[in-house]
Amino acid sequence: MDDRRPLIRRLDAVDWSFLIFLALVALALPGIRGSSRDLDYAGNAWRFLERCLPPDLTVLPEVGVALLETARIAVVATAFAALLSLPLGIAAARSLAPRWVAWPARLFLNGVRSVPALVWAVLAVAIVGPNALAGCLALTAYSIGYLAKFAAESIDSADPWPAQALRALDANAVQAFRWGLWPQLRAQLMSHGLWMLEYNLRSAAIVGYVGAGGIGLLLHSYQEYGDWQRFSSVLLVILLLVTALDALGQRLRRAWTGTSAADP
Amino acid sequence: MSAAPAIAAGRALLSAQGLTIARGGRCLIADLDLELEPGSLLAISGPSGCGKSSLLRTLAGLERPQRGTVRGLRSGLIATAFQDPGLPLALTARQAIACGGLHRQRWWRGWWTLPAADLQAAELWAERLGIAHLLERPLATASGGERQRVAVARALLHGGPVLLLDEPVSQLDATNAARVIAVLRAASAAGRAVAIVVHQRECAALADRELRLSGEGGWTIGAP
Repeated sequence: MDDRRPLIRRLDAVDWSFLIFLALVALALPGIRGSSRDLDYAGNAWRFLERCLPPDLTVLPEVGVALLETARIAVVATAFAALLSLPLGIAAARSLAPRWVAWPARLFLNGVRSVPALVWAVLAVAIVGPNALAGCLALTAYSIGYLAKFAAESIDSADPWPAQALRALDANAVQAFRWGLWPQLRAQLMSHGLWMLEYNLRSAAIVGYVGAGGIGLLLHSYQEYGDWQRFSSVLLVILLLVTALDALGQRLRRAWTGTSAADP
Repeated sequence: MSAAPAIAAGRALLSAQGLTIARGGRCLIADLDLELEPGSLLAISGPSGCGKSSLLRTLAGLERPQRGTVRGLRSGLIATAFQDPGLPLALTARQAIACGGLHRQRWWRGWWTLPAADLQAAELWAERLGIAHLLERPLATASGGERQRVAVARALLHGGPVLLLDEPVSQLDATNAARVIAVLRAASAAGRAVAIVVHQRECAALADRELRLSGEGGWTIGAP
């Protein structure tokens, strides 16, 4: 059917959102300026690349040890955050928690998420000193904000009827959650956890810059001494690790979505 | 662990008095008096949108009537299966049916696995309703009619003396519909009060009584 409404009245919420985004880009772009000096950007980049290549692979044993510490930080932080985020996610879910619980919980999670991982790391280093524990605490705090928000969103978008049908059969709230909602959430929450683990592996490298242990510490010291070939070998190892984890993650997600109900 | 309530012969397990149900400003059922007695099978019929499902939900205590009361409501009394069965599709049929027995467990039990007795009992109901082949399969692979029977089996396993079922045979072929009705007749013969919403005349004819709703407030109750 021919829509004769004027163009402006034919725009839906998605169109308007996109237009607002375009307006924001137009407003932001003029504010992005480089140095006022006349620098040879391409030449600088090329010279930097020359200093980085080839990577110095003699440091691999040292990098391996630091990488292991990074992986430990990321795994433990993700595990703690996943455990803590489930009750927080339930508290923040509008479909489960009463308004007076959901709003403060959401406000708390917004607060946690508004602090970048690096700032959490600075705080943690100030409290427990420059070590792996600081990295672990920082990434746990950072991850809770995200995982709990994801959990709350998953709960809110899950079909509530299976749980309500169980309530109608006199199951209590915990049982209705376990057998009505959890089977819908399980694979999603695992997927979020895996995403967070990938993220934390990359972040663990960054928080090391401020002394919170792991491979970042090594990265920082090579940068400080201008040891760019060793620096690039660390980057190479991180790239390999993230790529391997990404491939593994895809396989796992495929397995989870095809999971039977043997263990819901 | 709480046992299913005992069935007292002859006395109504659930009764509605002066029940008035309205939806969207329209009165669907006016001043309905109804008693569900042990050993009875009531068919609820009427045109689409006449308030059959709303009546069932009101009797189950899930919706409030505009006027009137439902007497006898208590935990463990009513087992329900709705038009939309509300089954998590990741569960196997065995697990979904066994969920009907959750109310007999303490709240912290049954987190990791459902009670063995209920998982075993699920087999019995599945066989009677012709869905034994589904027991170990995720419900995502089951058809609409099969899921409907899983929901009926779950309600039967619940053990409540009042069974309220919303169109339990609407998606079934004649053979399976007859099988479900036979199981429900057996449940009523065993002393349960069964009320089913039906569209098919032949299903209503198998009930003891039929409640016909006009959709404009009117209703009649009598032999099918």
